[in-house]
Amino acid sequence: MSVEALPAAPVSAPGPSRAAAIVGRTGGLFLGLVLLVAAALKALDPATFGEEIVAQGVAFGLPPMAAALAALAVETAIGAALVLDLRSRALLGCATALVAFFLYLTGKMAWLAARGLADASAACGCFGALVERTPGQALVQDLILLVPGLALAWLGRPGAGGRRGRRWASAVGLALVVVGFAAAAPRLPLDDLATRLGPGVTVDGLCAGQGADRVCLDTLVPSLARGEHLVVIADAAAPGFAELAARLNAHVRAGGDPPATVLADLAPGERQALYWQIAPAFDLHEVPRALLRPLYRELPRGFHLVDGVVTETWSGPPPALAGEPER
Amino acid sequence: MTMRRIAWTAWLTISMLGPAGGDAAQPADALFRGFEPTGEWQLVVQGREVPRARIYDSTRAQALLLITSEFASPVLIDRAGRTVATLDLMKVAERADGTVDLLADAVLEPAGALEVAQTEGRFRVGGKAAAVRPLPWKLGPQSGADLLAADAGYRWRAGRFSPDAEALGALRDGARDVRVLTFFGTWCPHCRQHLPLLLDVERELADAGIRFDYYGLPSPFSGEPEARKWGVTGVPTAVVLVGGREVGRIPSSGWSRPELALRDILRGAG
Repeated sequence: MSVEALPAAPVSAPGPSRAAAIVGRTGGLFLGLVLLVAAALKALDPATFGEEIVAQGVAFGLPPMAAALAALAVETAIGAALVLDLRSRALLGCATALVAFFLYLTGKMAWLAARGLADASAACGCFGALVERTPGQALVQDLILLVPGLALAWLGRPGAGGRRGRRWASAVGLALVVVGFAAAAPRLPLDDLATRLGPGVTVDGLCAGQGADRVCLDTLVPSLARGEHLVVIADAAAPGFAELAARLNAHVRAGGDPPATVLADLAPGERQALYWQIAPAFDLHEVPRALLRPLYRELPRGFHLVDGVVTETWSGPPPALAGEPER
Repeated sequence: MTMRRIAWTAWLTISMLGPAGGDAAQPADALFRGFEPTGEWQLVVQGREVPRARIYDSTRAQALLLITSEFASPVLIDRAGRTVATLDLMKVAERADGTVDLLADAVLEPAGALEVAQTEGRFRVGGKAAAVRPLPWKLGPQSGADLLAADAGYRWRAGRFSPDAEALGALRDGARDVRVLTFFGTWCPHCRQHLPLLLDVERELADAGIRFDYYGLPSPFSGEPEARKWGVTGVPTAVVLVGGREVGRIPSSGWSRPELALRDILRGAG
């Protein structure tokens, strides 16, 4: 009895185990989704993101908006590629560099804060660093959200092939869509979506800081918790503030119903200078930047309050102020 | 013509025609009612501070009212129109709540222009050069009595506050060897709003076993040794100590009712 020789099996490198591939795929998917969600949220308000990039000193000479769009493109492309399981050595190298960069930024802030060197909220100088999460918490959150996914993504990397070109095209295409959306976002009516201020929000829920340092708008401006108010968040140093103040003064002098209130992040002494220079007939309140910044994309921004509840918001001053300023 | 100019012109016209309300003094235009005492500003006349000057502010009228023996009559500063006028002291009526109104038959005598320079307003009345400028900061250890005595705005706000009687009772009965050390800044608007409430609580608890100390900080205060020692990150900050040991701090949200916050902290400390 003869045994017919079987054809030799093709020789190839051993592939990743199925378990390692699943774990790696899951890690990549998780990290990719985290990056995509983060990019989408930042794309709603690229101007603020750009400000943060410049403030961190990592804009590399780019204007804030350009830096924001470039960062969004990179983050989205890497996130989408990970979701699409494009876990090549080069891509994971880029993802590792990106995660390391994020950790460097949050780690630097945590280090500075631990030594009392982190920037405090300027405002009137009354407050310390009012933040929704401390630099230490931010570092821990970044470590939890980014590092495990990244580490796992290196496991069981897929081999070459499998429509990689199409998937890369999809990742790049999504990045372009996000960049295009971010570029258009400032002109889109997304303020209520992109900020913490929208109809239904209450003034006692507009807060900043943690623990004993936590301050809320109803504490800083108790009058807003009762009655009806037109409120404007404004930049008192902006060139257009004098004209806005004149309109607000005219509103008050004309009877001012509902009364107008301006919330602004003022430097020490600025309110006293404004007292003489623009002679506000409206209530001008100093509110720390940490509390105000999450409430707008561009200034001025107006909202209507009834008994401490936001009923309407406007991109710009309230339309009820329309009219000729008195002076 | 602006609404404000119309109001002033109408007022002057009515004043020249004579009192409109007979013997019964009536408040003038609603704009000139409810001037509130303020301790945020100081009057300087001929280069000398006038600490006893009474200064009243009306946001809505965009005006300051000065009453001092340095001038023969009260002075009304129109911040918006940048003008200064004098009026008869008898035409200034003080209300029970401490605010003042100008009466309808008050005659405003133009006294000149207001010059604005940074954070102060300068003018001349009766040949005297004067300025209204921010009060200098109070720094270092302060007593509540001194703060109230020196600041009309603090006195006025403290006088309008009614602390919770039950909380005061609990503090009187239960507080032993308690010290409340409050860091504040006279430059901080939130301290101007909230510190008088604690000053009133201190006044109400004069017979209780609670010692109130105050410490004025500069701006910025991050390098100030006492602020660093006590870990002060914002003002006002009130550190509550029992037997020399810190048991809590009045949270930012507690400053609108400091007596309740203080009672809760001491209850928590057992």
